[in-house]
Amino acid sequence: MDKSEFLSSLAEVLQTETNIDFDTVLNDLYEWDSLSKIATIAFLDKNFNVQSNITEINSFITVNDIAKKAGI
Amino acid sequence: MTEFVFKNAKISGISTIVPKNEKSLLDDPELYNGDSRRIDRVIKSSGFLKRRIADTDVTTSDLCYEAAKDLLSKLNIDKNTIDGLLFISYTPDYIMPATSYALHSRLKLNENCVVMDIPQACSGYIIGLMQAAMLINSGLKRILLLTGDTFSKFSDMFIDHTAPVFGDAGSATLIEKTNTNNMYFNVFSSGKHYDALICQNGGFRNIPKQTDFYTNGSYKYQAKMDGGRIFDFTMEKIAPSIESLLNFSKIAKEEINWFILHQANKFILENIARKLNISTELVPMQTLTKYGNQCGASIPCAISDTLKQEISTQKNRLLLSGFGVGLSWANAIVETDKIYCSGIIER
Repeated sequence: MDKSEFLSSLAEVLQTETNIDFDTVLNDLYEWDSLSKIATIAFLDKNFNVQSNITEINSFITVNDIAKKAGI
Repeated sequence: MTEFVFKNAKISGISTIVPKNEKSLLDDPELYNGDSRRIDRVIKSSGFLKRRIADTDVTTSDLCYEAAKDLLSKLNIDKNTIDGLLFISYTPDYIMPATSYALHSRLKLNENCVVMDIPQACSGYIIGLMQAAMLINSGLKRILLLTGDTFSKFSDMFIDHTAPVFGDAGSATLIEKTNTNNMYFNVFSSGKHYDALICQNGGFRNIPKQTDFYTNGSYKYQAKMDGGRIFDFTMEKIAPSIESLLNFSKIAKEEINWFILHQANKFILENIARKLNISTELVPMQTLTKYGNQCGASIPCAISDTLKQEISTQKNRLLLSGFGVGLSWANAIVETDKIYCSGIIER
């Protein structure tokens, strides 16, 4: 998965209509709530075989933190 | 390892009851502070839509009583032959005595009967089946297993937005002695998460006081759920525990007809199916959309709602998986052979 594919997949997972990039602050997204956080955990597991949890996801500040976790 | 096999117990029938009163996430304007976008997202990702609510004066034991009446009459069981009654719920009638005694009286069962309550919800059906199998293994012959919950009574669950997830229901299952059936179980517990889903008030740690009431007079149970922590737990523990029971039983995934998982939510069930590498077609999940997360009754209700035809007319090997409050998780592999199944009955 390249960088642009990652961004479009993540936008779909978060069900957001906002155009996200790597600098987008997660808390600025209307959709960044418990639903999208657990969807992000499943997204990382399913596509990158990377295990995470709610505590770690809560520590993420920008989209780039999710990308780093995914190895993008 | 807490894994067991019992060779002499079988399930003979299942009845399930829901209250008539139906609520939808779409017709509750106060939900999520009226944020319709959020309601849409909850429906889409969790799968929840409708749920059943028991009337104020209807308890879990009332629903289980109706289920038991249906089961015993349809199977034409002589009540005097029931030598065990189990009531599994976190919403009992009283603190004392155990609700199973009230049900024993109401069902007019014989005094030669072991009765007990077990406080369990999401994994309660598996724990109850295991307890029934243990009693039969100890010499009893016919156990009535009643599981159910009425989480709608926890009025505070509207405050942390968990109320729309839960639906009220009751179930009755008959377990009988046989010589030709294997039931496999594994059971796990993680007490360090005892407060991940908790009702703090109503017991003796926090004695009721005047300030424990809302202005409308309803009691502050202080019931709340840490959804994130429970999600992490389900992703980490459930699929490996199911794999472990399959290994223990030496039964291949392909030999399981249906995987009946506790109807926690669609997202969790899809992810467990993905981790198990099984088709979601083998994992019924429509029951949670129609009736909500029915806690202790969710597994029998999922069977009743989605597999009535298959269960009544064919032999089936089912893998059952319950997980939640405790935190507790438990799995069973059971075989059924053309058993009575009521479908979902409304009362």
